[in-house]
Amino acid sequence: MNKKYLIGGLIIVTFIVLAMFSFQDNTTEFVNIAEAKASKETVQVYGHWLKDKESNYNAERNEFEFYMEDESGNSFKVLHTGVKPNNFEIAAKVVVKGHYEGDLFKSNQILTKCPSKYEGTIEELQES
Amino acid sequence: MLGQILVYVAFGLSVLSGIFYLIAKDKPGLLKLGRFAYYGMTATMLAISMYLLSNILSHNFQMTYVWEYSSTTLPLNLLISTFYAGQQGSFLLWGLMLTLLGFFLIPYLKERNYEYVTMGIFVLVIAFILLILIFKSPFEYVWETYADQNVEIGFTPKEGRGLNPILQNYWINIHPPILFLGYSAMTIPYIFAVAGLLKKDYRKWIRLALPWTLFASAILGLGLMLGGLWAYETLGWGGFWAWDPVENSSLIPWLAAVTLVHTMYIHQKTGGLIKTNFVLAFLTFIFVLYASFLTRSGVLGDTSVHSFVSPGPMIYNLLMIFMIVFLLLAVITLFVRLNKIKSPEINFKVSSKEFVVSLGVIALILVTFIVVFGTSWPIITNLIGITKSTVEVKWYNQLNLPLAVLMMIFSSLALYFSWGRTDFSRIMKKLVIGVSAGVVLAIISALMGVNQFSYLLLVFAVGFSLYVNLEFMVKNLRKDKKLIGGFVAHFGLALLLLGALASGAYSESIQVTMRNGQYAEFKGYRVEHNGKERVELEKADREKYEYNIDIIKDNDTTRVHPVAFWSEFNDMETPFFEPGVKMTPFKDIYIAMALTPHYEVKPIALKKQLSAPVSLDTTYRIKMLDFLMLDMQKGPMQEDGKPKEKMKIGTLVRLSNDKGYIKEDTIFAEMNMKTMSNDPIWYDLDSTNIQIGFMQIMPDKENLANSGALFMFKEKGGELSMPEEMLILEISDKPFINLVWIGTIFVVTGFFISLFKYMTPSQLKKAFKKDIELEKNEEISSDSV
Repeated sequence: MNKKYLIGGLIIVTFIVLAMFSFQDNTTEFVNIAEAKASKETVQVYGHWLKDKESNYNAERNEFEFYMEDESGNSFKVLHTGVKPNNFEIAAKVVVKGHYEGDLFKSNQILTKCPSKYEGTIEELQES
Repeated sequence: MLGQILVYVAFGLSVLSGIFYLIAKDKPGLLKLGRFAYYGMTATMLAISMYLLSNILSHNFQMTYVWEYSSTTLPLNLLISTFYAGQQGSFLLWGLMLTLLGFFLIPYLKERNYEYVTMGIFVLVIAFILLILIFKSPFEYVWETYADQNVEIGFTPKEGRGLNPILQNYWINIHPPILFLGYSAMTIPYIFAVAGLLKKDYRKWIRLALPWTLFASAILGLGLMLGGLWAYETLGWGGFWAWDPVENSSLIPWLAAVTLVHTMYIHQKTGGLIKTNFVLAFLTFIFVLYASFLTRSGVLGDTSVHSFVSPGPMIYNLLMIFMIVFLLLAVITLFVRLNKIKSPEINFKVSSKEFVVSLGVIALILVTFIVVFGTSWPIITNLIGITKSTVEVKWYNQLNLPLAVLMMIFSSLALYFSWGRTDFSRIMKKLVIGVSAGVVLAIISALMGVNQFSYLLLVFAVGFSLYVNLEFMVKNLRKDKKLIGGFVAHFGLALLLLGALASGAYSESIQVTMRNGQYAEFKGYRVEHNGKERVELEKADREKYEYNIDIIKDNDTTRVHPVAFWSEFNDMETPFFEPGVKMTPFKDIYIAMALTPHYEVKPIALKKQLSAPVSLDTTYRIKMLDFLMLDMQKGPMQEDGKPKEKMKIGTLVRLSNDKGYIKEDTIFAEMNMKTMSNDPIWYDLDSTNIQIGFMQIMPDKENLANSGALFMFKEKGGELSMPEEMLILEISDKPFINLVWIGTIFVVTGFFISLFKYMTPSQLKKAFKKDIELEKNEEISSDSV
């Protein structure tokens, strides 16, 4: 066996093995809240903000509390570490990343999706 | 109408030009026709762009695209940028950049007698983009876009929707055009490779494509990092790179192109790696198409912080076809010619330079693979039908770190190695200083607090690479300046990685809240909030404030201005923020801002049938039962026929405490009909000193019956405390972030130096001679078989 193929092959194999092993711990699944409750692991839940229910930012603890409803229509409370994200009010969809603990979802990252503002809608056209 | 006709004309000309170029073998007349058609297309393309621009500048909101992305309030530079703020315009910009590149490509190819076929493939790419523009036209009128909604023909919206305030920045005039020029240039290695195969030329194309590949890498690399600088300066998430799918999808073609530069280089010196070069040249462009598919088709919808549009199945399918056509073209031509490609069986010895460079190339390919795989993972999970998931940022960092170490070590070692075979005993001595430089830098960083082995390893590799490349830079500067491109680029890469490590892994941050006049301490700095000033008062569509944040150390005060920006773009609902950055040579102090109101006494918003504790005495509860709008029922007019200015409204509440007190009563207020705000008639809560005020109706837009009421509380005789604005500041330091920007400048400069080296005629002539000799030798050897 040629030495050069051995060295090259070794690098490639090592990294593919390394990548595969570290992969499991480094992916975050999209689940609904029922699955999040069951798993206890870090997951992402897709849904929307329930504006009717109370929401509150605690400046001392830097925690933002609100209610969400997931895609299957189940509502739950979210305790997010950090400020209320930009665009939270106008976000059509919200993705929270974190884990379920006690009776609430502890989030450390919120993604907001505002597709509605990207392209125009007929309502906006009629208003103008 | 005119715009759309021009698009059809340009498409027709591009198809014509493509056909002429593809059938022009040994027919200079046809070649000329192809060229004419191309020039005609170029003129049409310019006309299309000018036409769109003139519609933007004259605010022709009849055009959906103009209405969607611009407005009369934008200044000229931003108005121009709305040309490419949406999808249609960005396709047009892509097509325009390609067309202009072709304008420079034609004389280059003509001089080297390589125009036939090559330009044909190139024009085909432009034709595809024009096809997209036919289906998704920037010139559609609003009544066409909303044809099923009975918008009358000729309807002109009074004002456009305007540009997203996040994008309202001079960077939007710089970053996207450079990025699109880079994307467009990435097409060129591909067209050379396909043309090479079709023309049965398996080597010359590599030399011809090399300067263009260098150009593409330089420009796309610059575009990527300018995007990072933009994000760092204005988006406020504190970094320049986040492994976001949008960033990744531009990084992937860049990585492929840089790998290609290295395999082309090995080919130059050894004559080998021909098939590898073909595959990488194909991938470079296919990855550009993949990137545009990822970012424009909507497939990554919920996995990125960037907003994506779902452009509908039309664009999705077109982009898919675009990708498949050019992938198939590459795969089929390669398979047809595979047996004919005679790569000389060069035996890479382990001690040869070509082998060490190849190892670096392997590391680069692995990095590319990691980014492709990670970015595509959400799509892969969909395809194989498992639970959708995304890859964490730390996965990229973990895996790329050792690869970066290997790349820097291999690229530095390679400089000492000789082509063919290296005498190790001779280079060992030379390596001592470089290795020592690495060790010294690692020790210094360990003393400064770097304590992770993998980080120290990276620092070592950086030190080694910096020294070695500097040594060769200085040595060759005296001999031939044009040779130093590679050293400059690798030196820059080492700087960039060091800056990325220091500013990323060793950034500390605190989160503080402060009111006007308050301050916070952070690592020896005093950060003071000294008020705010409203700016851009002349613009009616916004309320924009610059905050005065003083960063004080010893006797030195720097004032930075984080920005809060309420815009009509989102109906002034939430502000957009920009950070304030104090830049110093060795570290930046980075201040990201958010706002929250602060109340001395907490107001309470209630909907019907909901209750909450009374703010000044929580043993009491207040429950909202209903609204009373007696005045409202009498109609909006006064008895003398004038509209009412004030109206008495009330809300029925139940007040209770934990000792059994229950009372239902109405709390009244006078509502100002113009401002819709209330003048509360203060209500005394029995046997306490507390007064309750009904401040505001909180209307529910969807169902008015579900509207709520806002209550505030104060002590009898006391003043109502108004909410005060509180800043939430995330203060962090970014050590050595400047190395990232300086490194980038070096990398881009390095590419350009190498580019000019290969562009000089004497170099090219020399290269051609070598090619011709090699080709002759092959013919002879194959004849003798």
